Amino acid sequence: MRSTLKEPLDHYTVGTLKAQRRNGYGSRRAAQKASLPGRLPARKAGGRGIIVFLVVVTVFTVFPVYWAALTALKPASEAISFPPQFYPRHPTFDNFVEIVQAYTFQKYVLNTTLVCFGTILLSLAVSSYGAYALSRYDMPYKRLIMVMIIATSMVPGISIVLPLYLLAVKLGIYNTLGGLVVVYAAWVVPSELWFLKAMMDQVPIELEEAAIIDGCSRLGAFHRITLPSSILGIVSVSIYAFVRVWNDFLFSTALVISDDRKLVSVALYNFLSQFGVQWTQLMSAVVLSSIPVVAFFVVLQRYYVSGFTSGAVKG
Amino acid sequence: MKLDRRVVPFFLLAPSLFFVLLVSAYPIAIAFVYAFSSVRYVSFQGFVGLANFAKVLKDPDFYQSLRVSFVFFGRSIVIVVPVALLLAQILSSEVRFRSPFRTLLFLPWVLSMTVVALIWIWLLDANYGPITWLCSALGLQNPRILSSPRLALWAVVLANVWNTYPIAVIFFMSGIEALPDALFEAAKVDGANPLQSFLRITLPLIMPTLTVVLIQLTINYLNLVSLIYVMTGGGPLSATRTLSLYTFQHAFHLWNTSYASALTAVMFLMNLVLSLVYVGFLGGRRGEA
Repeated sequence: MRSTLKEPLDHYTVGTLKAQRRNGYGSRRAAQKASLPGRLPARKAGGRGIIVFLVVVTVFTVFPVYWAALTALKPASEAISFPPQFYPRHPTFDNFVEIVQAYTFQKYVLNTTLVCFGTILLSLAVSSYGAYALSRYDMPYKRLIMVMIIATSMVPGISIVLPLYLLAVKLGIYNTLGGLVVVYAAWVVPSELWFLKAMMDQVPIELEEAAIIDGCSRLGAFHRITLPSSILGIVSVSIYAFVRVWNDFLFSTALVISDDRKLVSVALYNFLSQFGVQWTQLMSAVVLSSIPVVAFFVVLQRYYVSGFTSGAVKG
Repeated sequence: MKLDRRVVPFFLLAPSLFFVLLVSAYPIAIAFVYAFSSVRYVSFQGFVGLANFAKVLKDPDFYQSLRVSFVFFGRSIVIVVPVALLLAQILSSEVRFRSPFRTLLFLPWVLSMTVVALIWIWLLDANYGPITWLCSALGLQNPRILSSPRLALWAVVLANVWNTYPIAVIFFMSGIEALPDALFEAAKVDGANPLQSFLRITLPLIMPTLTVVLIQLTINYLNLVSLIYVMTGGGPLSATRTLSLYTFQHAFHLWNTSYASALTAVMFLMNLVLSLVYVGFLGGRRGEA
């Protein structure tokens, strides 16, 4: 889309300079304001309506998370009171302690972590070479292959889960964590290929040529130059794979049956279906199991978003 | 050396292609083969032609779940798209809200569907839930939302909206921020008010982004399983049983492998039609540019 409409640079610069003059030089906010001028400014377009809208959206977005965290911090007796209490009277970490100490929860977290890292390693071992081939070599039907890869990344889980289950049963990898790793790796490889290819396209081929002149083989140049130069992309796709696997319910519920091989999301569901669910404990399990994904996002959201939207918006 | 050039990329790409086919062509082909066969659990019993599809067309539950799917999808999309568009527009013009909001938006989006479902079950709890409390404080009857066939689908829609609207906002923001500022300045000079410049400039120019978001949300919503499975299991009285959930139940609860395969094939064709629209739009856009 950027390429369809050329941005006149002088306009932008003039706006920035004017704003800096108005608000004082070196003010970062002044520069930011100038870079995005005049699109429905709240003050002019019924500012009150917009503020109300923002408040409603914020409450809608945050309250459920607040409520989950609040419940996790309440003693059991306080959680089951009506009318509900909207702030902690006697906050306690007992629920968290009990969940963390529970052998089953440790087991589920360990299983999920193993499967996540297994998936990341296996999928990267496969997709980094594939992305390199797509980025650097000419091959017949390359365009068709690329379209097939992006189409695959959009195939919904429900369309493939039953045949994969049947395959897993026939191959004898049903109900094993290894089987889950293979399926998950295959599941994340298409997006990884697409994204890593885009990253490797940006690594100048001259760097590789220089390395080859200095005596590297082509693959040596890939290992020593292109792969390390794409480290940001590798980190991004690893996080993407981690979050997809950590959050998945469909495949892990279909491909694993034994209780001691379950992953966290399925375990949370089973916790719910048990008779007499303890909501304070369930909510602390919910909070604990969400910490890894939330932490990754808060730290690395910028890379993740750019990767996520570039795949789909630029097509 | 010449041989090397042609063979090397193939060896580099082959494992990737194997994995890609493992989650695309292979399962889809199997689903179609089984849709035309009789399969008892995992063992193939022979081809039966169109019998499974005839069964699908005669199955009243199929039509009922198809209807639920489209109601669920329609309600979700009618809420998500305008709200996300408005929010994206505000956040792109009001920079001071943008970065705290971006972080907030991540919260519902990164959580797993299981977690989202559990949180919303607890919010809607008939005895202790704050939403139940709010409803009864407002004098509304029947606050047992999740056990009411009429309200349960709205509850699932609400949870789904909460979980998925952030990604629509993020897409719309990247679309709006890619637009050149000069256009908006020119419109302002010409005396356009913010509403006019939104309707006449922003909206037509982010049509490609809007199309991408619409199709992606459509595919996501029509194929959703986990959220509904955990939140209501399709109940009460199959009021929230979408076609995707119905397929899942036939596959993994009733073990009707061939019938589930026929349903999978029907759903896959639905997705294919939608994806072709998606690809068609992207192709058309590339042609214009």
